[in-house]
Amino acid sequence: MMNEMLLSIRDLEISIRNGDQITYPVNRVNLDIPPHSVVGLVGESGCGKSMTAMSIMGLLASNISVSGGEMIFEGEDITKFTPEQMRKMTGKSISMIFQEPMTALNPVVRVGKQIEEVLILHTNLNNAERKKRVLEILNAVSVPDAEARYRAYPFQLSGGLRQRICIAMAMICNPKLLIADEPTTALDVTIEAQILQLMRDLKEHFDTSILMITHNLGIVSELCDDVNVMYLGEIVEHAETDALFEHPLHPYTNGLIQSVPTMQKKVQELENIPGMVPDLQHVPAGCRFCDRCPYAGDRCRAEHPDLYEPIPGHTVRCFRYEKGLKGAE
Amino acid sequence: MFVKRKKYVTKATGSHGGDIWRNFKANRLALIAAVVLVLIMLVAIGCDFFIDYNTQVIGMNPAERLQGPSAAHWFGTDSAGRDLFARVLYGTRYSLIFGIGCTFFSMAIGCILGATAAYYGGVYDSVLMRIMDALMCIPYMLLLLMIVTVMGRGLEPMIIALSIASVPGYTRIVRSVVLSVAQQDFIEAARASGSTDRFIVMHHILPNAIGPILVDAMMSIASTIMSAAGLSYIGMGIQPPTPEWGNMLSDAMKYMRTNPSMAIFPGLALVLTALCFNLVGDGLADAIDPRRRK
Repeated sequence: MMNEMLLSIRDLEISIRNGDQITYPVNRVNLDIPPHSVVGLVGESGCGKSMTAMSIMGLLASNISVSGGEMIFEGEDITKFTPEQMRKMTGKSISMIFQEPMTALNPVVRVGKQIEEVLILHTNLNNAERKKRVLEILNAVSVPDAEARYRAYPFQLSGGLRQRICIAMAMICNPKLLIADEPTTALDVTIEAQILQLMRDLKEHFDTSILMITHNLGIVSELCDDVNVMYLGEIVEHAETDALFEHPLHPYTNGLIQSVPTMQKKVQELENIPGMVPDLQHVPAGCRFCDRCPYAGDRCRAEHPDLYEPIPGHTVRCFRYEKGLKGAE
Repeated sequence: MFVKRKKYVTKATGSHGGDIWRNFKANRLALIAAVVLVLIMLVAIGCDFFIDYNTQVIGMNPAERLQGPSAAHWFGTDSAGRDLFARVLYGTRYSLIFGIGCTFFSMAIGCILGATAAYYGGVYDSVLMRIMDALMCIPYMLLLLMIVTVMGRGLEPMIIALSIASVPGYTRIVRSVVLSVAQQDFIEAARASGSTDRFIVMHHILPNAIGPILVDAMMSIASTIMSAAGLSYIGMGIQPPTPEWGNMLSDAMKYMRTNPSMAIFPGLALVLTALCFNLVGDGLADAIDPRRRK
């Protein structure tokens, strides 16, 4: 099982030092990304999604560190990598696209040159070969008039085009894993659909796995094979996408799905999850979701639930499923 | 709009330097100022070839004192009968030495201090910046006078004084520019694509930071020239009979009513040089930042 995975994160724990205070924004997270698949990581803002992604890329700020667990990527634990090994891997085997295409590009460097920089860092191609590769990738990410865009500055391009440039930059070394941190949040819906389609095409074309970080369940249902739901630094539910949407088990997942407006149902008021994500200094002692959970009992407040597997391949962190599906009724 | 944009894109040559030059050329005023500056520099370098320092520049000739402009003396003569044209041309040297030299020195020191402060941060940053703050509390002219008083008058003390007095300003600017660039998303994106620190500094931070720093340097050449002239004007800088625009102006004060050309020509030279540096600085600002291009 373990060997099949492209990236396997085990018991990942990330700690933030702030003076004497230590908080844990990511707590014992397990995450598996099989080859050639799209894995979703869903959750509200501040639940540790991006932090998890940054830790894979080795981009954590100086006061934040991985304090436990391991991340096995192609058989090697990348948490033990030296900065130099990390540098050689990021951009080549694992690459990332960011939320804000407006600021993710250097404003004074032509976009073609910026894409080329990745090749300069990771390959020994000469000038002409690099340019050829860049034009190829620009065509692959459907940038129209690639020759002219090669020479454009980022500010001359629209948000959608810039995100395509960012994707081109991430894909040019043909990475095994692409981490997409809310890649469409800053774009409008029509462009969002185009970018998602592009990512689907690229996945087929380049045989790349994608870790899709988002708070948008629509994106998840469209794109992902597997979903992990994260709440306050923990994975609370993991399943195949269809299974999760048909049978959401965790009350939190349920709440998330209920709070998405649909065309079918006409409702006066959209349901929402009561309360707010507690801050990291006031994590509940028991189940982290207990304060906002409609089913919470005394045990939930006192004891921290493990991950249970009431249906094969579908795990959930809730006492209601401790004895299989029956317990929930 | 779209057509215009496309035209621009296809016209581009490819290199960053080439872009800057083409955009700078498009700004007529800055281009003229640059040409004038080149001429001024040529004069400063070449004035020895057609002016004899000992006889024409500092040699007294009481018989011809206080004349107005004429065919023999284009700018007239001063109170010692010296040709003002020759003196103004020769004075270019001092102004350029102060302007360019001091700016270069203080820039270099400021860049090193500011960049290291931004990079290392922590205690080093705090201590260094508090020292700079303390220096900045002293009015610029007062600081200049203080250093000149301690070190004595003359060319070298003045260069040192003008350089030191500008360091705090540069340190601050460089530090803030480097900090603001380093915090941008594209630096993180560059890190995510596996860039080395050196690569990030050379390809991302420097190209973004050099614009504002260079523009600031250009502008401050003008103000340094003014300050140098000011020091000489109050008698704390270059001493007569050495021709420096500041001390020429101070000499002219007594004859303002009878012989205004004595003040007008050095004053014009001063204003022209300072203006040209400012215009070039402004043109450079527009040319370097692609977002400011019209």
